[in-house]
Amino acid sequence: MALNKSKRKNNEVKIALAGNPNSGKTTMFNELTGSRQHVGNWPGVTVEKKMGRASYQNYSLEVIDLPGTYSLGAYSDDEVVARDFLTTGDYDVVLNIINSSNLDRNLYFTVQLLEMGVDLIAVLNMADEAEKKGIKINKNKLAKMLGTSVVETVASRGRGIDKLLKETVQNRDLSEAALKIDYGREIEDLISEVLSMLREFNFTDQINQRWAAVKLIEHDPEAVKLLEREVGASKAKKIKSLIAGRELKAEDDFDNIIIDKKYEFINQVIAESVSRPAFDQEPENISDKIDKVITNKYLGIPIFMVVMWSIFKFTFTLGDPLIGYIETFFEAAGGWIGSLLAGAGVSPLISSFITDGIIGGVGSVLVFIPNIFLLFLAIGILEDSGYMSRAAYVMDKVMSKLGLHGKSFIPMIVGFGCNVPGVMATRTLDSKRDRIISILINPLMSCSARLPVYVVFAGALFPNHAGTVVFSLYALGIVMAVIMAGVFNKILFKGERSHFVMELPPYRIPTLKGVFIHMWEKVGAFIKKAGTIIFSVVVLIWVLANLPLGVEYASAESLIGQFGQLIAPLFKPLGFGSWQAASSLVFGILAKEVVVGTLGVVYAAGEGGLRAALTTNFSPLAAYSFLTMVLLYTPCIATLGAIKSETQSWKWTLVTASYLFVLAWIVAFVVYQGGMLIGLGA
Amino acid sequence: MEVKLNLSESLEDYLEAIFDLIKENGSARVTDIANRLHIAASSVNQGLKKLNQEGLVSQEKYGPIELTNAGYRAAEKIRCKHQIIYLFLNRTLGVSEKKADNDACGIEHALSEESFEKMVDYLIKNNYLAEQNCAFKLKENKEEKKMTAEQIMLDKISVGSKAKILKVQSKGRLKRKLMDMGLNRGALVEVKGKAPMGDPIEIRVRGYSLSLRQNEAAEILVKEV
Repeated sequence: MALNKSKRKNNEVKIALAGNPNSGKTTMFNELTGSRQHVGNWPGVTVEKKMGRASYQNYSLEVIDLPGTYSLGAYSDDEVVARDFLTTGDYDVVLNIINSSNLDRNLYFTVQLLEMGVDLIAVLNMADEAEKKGIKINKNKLAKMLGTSVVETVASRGRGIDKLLKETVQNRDLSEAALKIDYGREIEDLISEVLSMLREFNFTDQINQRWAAVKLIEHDPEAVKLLEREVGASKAKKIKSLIAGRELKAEDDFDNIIIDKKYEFINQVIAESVSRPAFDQEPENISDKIDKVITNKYLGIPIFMVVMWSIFKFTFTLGDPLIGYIETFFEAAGGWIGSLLAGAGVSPLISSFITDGIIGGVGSVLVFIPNIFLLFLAIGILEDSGYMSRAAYVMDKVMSKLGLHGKSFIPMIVGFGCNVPGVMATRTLDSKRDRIISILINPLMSCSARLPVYVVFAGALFPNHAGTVVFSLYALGIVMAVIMAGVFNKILFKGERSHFVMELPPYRIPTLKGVFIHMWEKVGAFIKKAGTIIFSVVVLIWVLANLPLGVEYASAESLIGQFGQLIAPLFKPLGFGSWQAASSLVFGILAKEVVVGTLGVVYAAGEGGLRAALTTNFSPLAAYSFLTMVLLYTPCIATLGAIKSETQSWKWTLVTASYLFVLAWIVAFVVYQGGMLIGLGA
Repeated sequence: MEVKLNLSESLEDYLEAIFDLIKENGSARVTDIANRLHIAASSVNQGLKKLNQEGLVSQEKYGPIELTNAGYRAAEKIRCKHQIIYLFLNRTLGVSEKKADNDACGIEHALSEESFEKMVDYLIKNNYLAEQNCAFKLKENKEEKKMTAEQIMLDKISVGSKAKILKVQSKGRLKRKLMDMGLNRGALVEVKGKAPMGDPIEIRVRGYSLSLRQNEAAEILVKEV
């Protein structure tokens, strides 16, 4: 079909990758484009758009990786994005990546593409896995039955890629007729009636008419919307009531019949082109054996705990020294440039702006990198190995009690590293409800940026129980998350149900390339999304602390100090009503670890002096109350930015920002006043 | 599944009205039902709520009212009862057409299953029923039910056993998802295991592994093989 091919130079080819999750589509994308790729967003939705370039002989290929979906219905953003692109997007050929060892379900997707009239090459990927399972595919026969060309590949080893590229450029101008499946007399009759009505109503000819008719008969919500837009509500109603009236008399719902017929067609294709062991004679494969241990009744949960603990150890034990190096480097650089500037006779104010403001700002962004880097390295390995979905499987019972999906724990775990990628990781969830709740409670996972605040306070005021204090804060965050998840489920999403229909892919050995590309993407996204905000905030702090001109840096007379004084009474019942504490919290909203830096500045204390300043200004109880505030209150601006971009809604962003502040105030109030009551104040 | 009708008279009227409206207009709205039955829209809403609880109608928020399969069968049965009573009164007893129709309206809600069946048998025996009559379809369905008594829900299948899918009874998004994942009529599944806490379960279908919760499996009608 490809109605929308725009004029391109002769040697330019635009291709799109489409297919099921776990078909090796991402691996194929990485194999084709290598490092020449970039990530963006599809307009209007929060689905990642991956693009890249490849070349073959003298051809230049633009590659678009469509979201991996099982179907092209209209039941998730992913599906709608893929479908819209395939119906109206600008491309020459689609490479439909198929997992050869799972033909039935993968071909279900292929059949949908073919019915839309998409010009595609069927890529039988993971051919080696299929071979191992004793699956033999007659490519010629399959190609004939589907009416497409078929290429065999093993993307993870680069096998068949050359052949695929050759086929791609040869087929760039291909235009095949859409596949027609016989849906039985009842539905076929209805299809012709709907088709003639569409013709009569001048329905757009930009999409395959028969496909549109079938989608309407399935009551596909996007197709109905399109119809209403194209022909108006009253004419659309005529078609809708024709279908509804006919369906009443039918033996079964039309969508059931249509799906059944699709699978009937697939069964026939497979019967004629594939030979494989019967259902009950499949050899027990290695994945089954691993599963017996990993999801074992007694071992499953301990293994899950160990894995999660290892991720944490890996991220922080390895990351912290690296952070130390980065900090040392930036301090040294600041000092060196400072003395250089002083030598050149630059005024102290400008010199401070450059060293404390700008160089310090860049440093504040870069200190996040080691943790994010290591965290996503670990997560990438877990995802690509297939353990991630098992972990969701093992934990689903607990998560479903919170009204969430087993997969929701992934963003939660990531949240402990940093809420920005934590919020970003909610993309793996299908339902909007799971996503929103996971985003709303994600900031309650104590991110690593809050750790320095805990450490400094615990070290100063609870030198003998520092570990316990820090641990109790993490635990408090989790408890609050559980409570709030329940609350949001009750008040925001009454009656909606989540489901846990999820593929458990076979275990695979992750490829280094895949894991590293994934990791770089996340680090890049962090630098872009959060980095700019953190940097500007550090600069902003410097400016506010130095205005009005002439004041001593961050003193009570500076803008920071004045604002702190204004809001300090709000925190009096919580045990820390000083302007210093208040202004540090204000700046903590801009980035949580800045709380420590600000306190250091406002108490005019150096590296070692802060500890002493805290001991004199906070009682242990007030300090603990302050820490619960830091844990729970409004997340940093970078997290709020991520929430905005993930939910595409200011409403949810503001809901998160404000409910957390209220929650934090209440908890800190209970901690401080309760502590006073039972005599912990002294 | 056999629909057990323990509905009050007015609920049966609603069901019939929805059935007729969908046949005539392709959709049924609250106002249409209220007009047809000459009652207030608020009582219709209450009735719909009850029918929804019984699983006979489904309605997305502010959307059109739809009959579920069970609701459709129930409505059909009421219609059929009406017709049989009418035929019985008119053909065998000679009651006038108009009176017979009126009385049928009154009797149809109170008629017991047994009396209904006896009437049908009598009418069949005396050749009063045309071949296309609804009663034959009802009879057939009933026999079919008896034959497929060993149908159970997927969550009742024990680990290691295999089953064939007969029908996915879920609604909306979940139904679509299950069917897209290949759990449609005729698919062979094997229950592979349960998660450590007993839920969800892992099944093998169409050559791959899929997990779903117990309560989701409880909406999939299967036959053990």
